Amino acid sequence: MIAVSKIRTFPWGKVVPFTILLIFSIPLILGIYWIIISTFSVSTRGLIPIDSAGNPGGLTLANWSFLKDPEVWRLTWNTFVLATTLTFGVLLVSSMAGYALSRINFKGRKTFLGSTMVLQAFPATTLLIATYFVLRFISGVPLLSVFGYDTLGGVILVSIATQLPLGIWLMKGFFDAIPWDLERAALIDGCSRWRTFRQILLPQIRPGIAALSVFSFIIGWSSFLIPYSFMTNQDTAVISTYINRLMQDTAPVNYSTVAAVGLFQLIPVIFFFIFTQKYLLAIFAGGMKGGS
Amino acid sequence: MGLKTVEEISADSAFSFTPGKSKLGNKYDWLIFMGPAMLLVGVFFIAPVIIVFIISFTDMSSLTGFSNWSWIGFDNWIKIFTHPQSSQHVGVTVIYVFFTLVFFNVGLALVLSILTTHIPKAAGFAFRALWLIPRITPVVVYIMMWRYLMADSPYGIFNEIFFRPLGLDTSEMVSAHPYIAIILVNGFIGASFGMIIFTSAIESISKDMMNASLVDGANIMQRIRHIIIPQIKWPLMFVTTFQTLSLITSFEQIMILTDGAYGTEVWSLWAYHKGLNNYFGQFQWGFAMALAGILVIISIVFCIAYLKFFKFSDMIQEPKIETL
Amino acid sequence: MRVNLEKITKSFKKVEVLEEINLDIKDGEFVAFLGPSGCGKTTTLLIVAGIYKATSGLIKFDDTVVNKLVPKDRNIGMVFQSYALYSHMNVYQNLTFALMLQKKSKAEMDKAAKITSEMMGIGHLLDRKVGMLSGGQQQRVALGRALIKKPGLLLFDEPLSNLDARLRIHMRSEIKKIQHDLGTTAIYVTHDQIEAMSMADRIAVMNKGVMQAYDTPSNIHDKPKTLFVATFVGNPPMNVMDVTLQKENGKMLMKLAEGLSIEVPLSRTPKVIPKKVKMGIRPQDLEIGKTGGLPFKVYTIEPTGRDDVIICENNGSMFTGLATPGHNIKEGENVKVSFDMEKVQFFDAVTEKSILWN
Repeated sequence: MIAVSKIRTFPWGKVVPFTILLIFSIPLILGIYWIIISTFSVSTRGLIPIDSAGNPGGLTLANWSFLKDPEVWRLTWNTFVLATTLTFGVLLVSSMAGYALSRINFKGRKTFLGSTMVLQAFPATTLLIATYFVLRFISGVPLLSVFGYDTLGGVILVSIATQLPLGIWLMKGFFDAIPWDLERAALIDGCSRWRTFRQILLPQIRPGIAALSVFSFIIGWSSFLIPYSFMTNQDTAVISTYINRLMQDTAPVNYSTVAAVGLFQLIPVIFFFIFTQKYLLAIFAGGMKGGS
Repeated sequence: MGLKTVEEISADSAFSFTPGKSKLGNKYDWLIFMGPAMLLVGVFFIAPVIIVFIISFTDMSSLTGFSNWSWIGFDNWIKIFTHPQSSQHVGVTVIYVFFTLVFFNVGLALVLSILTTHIPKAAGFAFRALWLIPRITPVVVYIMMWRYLMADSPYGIFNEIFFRPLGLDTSEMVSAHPYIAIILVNGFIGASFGMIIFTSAIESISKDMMNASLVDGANIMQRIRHIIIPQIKWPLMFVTTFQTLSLITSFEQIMILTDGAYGTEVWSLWAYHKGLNNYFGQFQWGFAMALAGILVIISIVFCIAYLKFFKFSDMIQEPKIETL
Repeated sequence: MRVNLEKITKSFKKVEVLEEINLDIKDGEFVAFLGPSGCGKTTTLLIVAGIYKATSGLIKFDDTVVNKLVPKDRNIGMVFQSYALYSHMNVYQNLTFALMLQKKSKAEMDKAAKITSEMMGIGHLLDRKVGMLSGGQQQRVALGRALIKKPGLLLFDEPLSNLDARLRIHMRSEIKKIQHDLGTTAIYVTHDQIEAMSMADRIAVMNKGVMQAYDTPSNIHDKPKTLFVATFVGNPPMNVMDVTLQKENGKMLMKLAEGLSIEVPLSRTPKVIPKKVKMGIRPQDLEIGKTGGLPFKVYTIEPTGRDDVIICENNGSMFTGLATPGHNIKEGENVKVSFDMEKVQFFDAVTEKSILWN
């Protein structure tokens, strides 16, 4: 009897799902573990660090010597500029548009709302080739050439544009939740719509701004396809394209070095992720969930 | 108050107010707010869509340059159907989309969401966070990780700790099993989207209904079959269609992993190579635009379907201030 | 400031929510808009404030048409139900925000904030963030913010409904006193008839976008112009029943049931008698006894402290009466109900308008 009750109380209902989850997650766990291990190893065999003679051991900091390379820091700076201007641009443009779409009655508002929603599903990658022509055209326009092909400015603009549908939709949702009386009070106190937006409503949606900022920064910091497609100039490249170049090298790839640069790029992302998981989950789920 | 007299105002206002003449705020103030967004969307979404279709009717290429091209009607579009490689690209795209979708973006996503909602909260949250990492990791770093996971012995992790100890043959898995490689790599990113959506849907199923099914004696499989799946029907349909479109048009991971080698050049990557990036630096823009045009048409069809699907007009709240 | 609404209508997407509202408010008057939720009282207030545009009609402040003025140019102060305080600012910043927008000097702002906050009893809270204040304190900040501009017109949108009962009674008299002392014209929207009756000089009763009556509280109560006003104002609500009025031998008789007629006094005799008539009588104006009057059965007795509310039933129709505690009426008992005929009201059953006061 005791044995039976013991079996019955064994939490199969928890252990089985847990085990299955663990099995599915093996590649991720091994992969992440390897990235960390290998950055401090001369070389690795599977998950085991080895030295140059092929024996286990061989821990080293040599893979991090790239940190002394000024080029890496220039690329880091470029990446940082891309990520911060993207964040700033997305915030500015989408909070303004989100405000108008949520709160101002104007002709075509519904059309804009509809297209904003639909554009979230529209894959911007299908337009990359055509965007190349747009950027070439901008390059030819005097004064605007800093936003043209092969410039960081152009990459930033394209990146902002691709993030806009999500950003606008999110901001609109946050503005929707602010009570109307607050804005009415501000109007009666003597605010213009612009001042109401800036001084009364924006402070109310700080959580939304924080979430969108973190999200945009991560997108910008990690972005690969747009810089890769529209910047051939090595001087203005970003870390992602740099790592890709190391990986695609015809000479045998030194995975440990690549992993170190990769970890270097990954650290700020993980850092943000740990502290803002809940916000980010809300964005991943919320952006498209408007309709459900 | 320094205002107009009654007569002056009554004269032009009377009992009807044309909004255009209204002095209640500036009618065009919204343009200030919408302007930047409209400009960017116009330049980087609408203009490119138009460009795709215009150039697809030309023979523009790196040989003709931007000035010596000519209109060739539907030649590029016809060429798609006669091109000897078309069927191969369609084939790999269908295989890639179908298996990634079924096994990972919907299938695994569903499994993950059900399992993580049936273990203690903190553990469930930790697993979901773990599965989000591929999505937020810079894509090149993520692909690098997979390359190493799938590398040949004595380096590759799968080979070293699973296959070799079991006495199986080892191989460089990306080239040996390229389809499996691209499906795995994309699937591990794609699963998290559905996982998050399904999780919030499952968590919003009423606890009473779950408990009622327990009282009725349903085991977990019956519960999934008869309670959870029917209750999350809408999110299931949404994730399936949304991810289908994403998969058809995405190529970033495949490009970094194989760059289309070993027969993995999906349709969108084919277009990208033809039009923007290839080893020889020879571009057939006209043809590439027709290839991309197919994807744009598919996307537009999906998007129009969404607009109907979403019951969009129910979601709009009317502005409750009219002075602008 | 005088306020005039002339034939104001309002439609949202072709749905008419206000039907020709006419209203004149004297300088310094306190007017309450009273009605159930969705009756259009807040919409009317927001049209006066300039937040909504009237679909047609004129809004005049003194003799100036203000239809096209933005809210800030209307010289108004408004207190909202949710207070709508700027939660990221402290009390001082909330109070002086409007003055800051008018580019007043720091000294002027300090002075105004001091006077207003002391009047509102929140002088010691100026540095606090508004989120840290109690409901009553927030209410005072909201009131102070509306007053500090010295507006010509004060607008209140159910400002007390988020307060607990005790504080509500206190703030009621305080708002009334401040308004009276400052002599500022005020419009006060509420669904609480006791608030309206106790605070307002005149009450506009609204229902379904139509103004039902606009009169002093006592006239609203004693001479209701419509059946809606009669039943909406007064607690417990007025009893209503179908009756027949007949002239016999120069006397007006009210027939309640077969073989039961009561003479109607001259003061309550309508000039014209419509086909179908509804009689209304307030619970305090009927008497429940053992003899004489309409037979009823006591359904339930609800003690309220001052009075016992007695609900009786006759053939499915319920009647409410009051009795001083100590009475010997019991639940389930058969009683007779008689009316104070000097207090009855008569309405046309079809138009629901009073046939005594129109």
